[in-house]
Amino acid sequence: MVAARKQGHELEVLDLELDDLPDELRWREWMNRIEAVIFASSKPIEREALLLVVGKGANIDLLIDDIQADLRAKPYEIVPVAGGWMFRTRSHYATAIRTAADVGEQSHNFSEEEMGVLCAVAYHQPIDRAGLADIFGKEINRDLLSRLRYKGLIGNGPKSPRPGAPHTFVTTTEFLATFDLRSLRDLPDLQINEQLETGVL
Amino acid sequence: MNQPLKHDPDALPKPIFPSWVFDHQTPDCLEDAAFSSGAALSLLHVLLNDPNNSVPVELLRSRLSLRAAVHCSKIEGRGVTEADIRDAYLLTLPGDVMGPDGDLLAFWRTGTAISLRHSRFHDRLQTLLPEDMQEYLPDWSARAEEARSSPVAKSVSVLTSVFQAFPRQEAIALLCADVILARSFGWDRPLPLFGLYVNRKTLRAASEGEDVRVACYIAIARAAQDAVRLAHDLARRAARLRAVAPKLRSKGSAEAVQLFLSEDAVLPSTMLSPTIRGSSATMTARSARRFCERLIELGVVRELTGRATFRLYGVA
Repeated sequence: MVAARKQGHELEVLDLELDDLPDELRWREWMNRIEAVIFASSKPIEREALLLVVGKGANIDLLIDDIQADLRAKPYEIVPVAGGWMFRTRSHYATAIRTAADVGEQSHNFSEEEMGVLCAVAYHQPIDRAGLADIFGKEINRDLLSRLRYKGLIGNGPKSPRPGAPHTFVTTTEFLATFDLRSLRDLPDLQINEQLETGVL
Repeated sequence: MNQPLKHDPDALPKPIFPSWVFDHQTPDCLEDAAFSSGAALSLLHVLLNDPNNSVPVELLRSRLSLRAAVHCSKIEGRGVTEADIRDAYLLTLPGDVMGPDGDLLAFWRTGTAISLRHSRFHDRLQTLLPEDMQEYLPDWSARAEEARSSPVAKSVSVLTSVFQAFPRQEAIALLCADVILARSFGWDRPLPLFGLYVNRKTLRAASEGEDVRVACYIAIARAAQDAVRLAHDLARRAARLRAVAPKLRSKGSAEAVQLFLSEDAVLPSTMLSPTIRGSSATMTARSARRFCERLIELGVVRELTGRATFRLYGVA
């Protein structure tokens, strides 16, 4: 990583093209940068962001493929999530991680009710507080909704066309990342309407 | 059905969709199915290129995009209604999130707004795709466009390529097929057709490498049939709206009429005021509401929701 950065006077300028390196080392450096950028973020990193740290001729997908190949023997990998990439421990180690259970602050420690509300929003979005009250048979605490919003798992959706125009709640890309979903379609099917299968004819 | 105005020189002939296009039954062999789709598409092609511009093509595209969003929602197992999707799309404030239903409509609207005359239309299509699909698009579309086959068959080829590689991206596979179809026909912009009838069963068969041309030809014939009927219908409604336009005295009424001729649903509080979307003309919230009520009185627009607030208006 010697030539990773040219020393500017005040600002460090990132040398993208790395023309002074032989091809192989240049490629390796680009791989490392991408790995570092994804590693350092708790959110999915999009392609545009990755393109900022490599040269013009670099193909992000090939670089990531090569990183993946290096990670093959590791208990973690890079996965495409919500339109970007992020690091993930392999699901095989979930039990080990849970057993150690020392994930403390980082984990979303959901109460049963929070989890319930989150599920209701995920499946019934966009849904407002009145809609949630219909599902749970009681008013949902504003603080609870604020907590979910603070955690970045739900956001404001379209206005509900009711008196007072309350806003609805929808899930966010952070929600997808937290639960390891590529899209809302990966939510477990609650009901698949077989009628939908009937065809064109 | 509304009667066409007798004195209107721009009125199209009676809506005719000849019964021989389907020969009274659903075709089940490649030849019959291809014939039906070809016949139906030519009728549509003529309407889209009508020299009198009687068909409000933007309005047609807007309506069909909504239908495609409903169809895709069904495929994806959410199964929401047109009304749900309209609300999600139109009632989201800037900076808020539309959610899955509104996103689906936005996807079809953006996708079918891409100008195919523009040399970089592929880039615009590419930006609608998730990261991991983008790099394959040029190859998929090149393979389809270079194929020596009929327009619909080319689209089926791109549909199959996309869906085999990404078997959960129905909407994208269908939009790509519609883009290739519009390219083959030399249309300015795509029209949602594959997005209207190609169902989950057909898509699954495509992902398993089966030849789905018959099913797609039939789906396209049906979609073109719907589009032809809708185009006739909208042309008549548009003629009525254009006919009353000179009676509207309020400021910005010409621009507002134009908006009604291009949008499936108009929310006055954001689309007419403070400025009329697509123009620099202004309207106050009050005059926007009154304008819509006036159009209803004249029988050229109707309220779409039946609600007292957040009312949406569309050409009647």
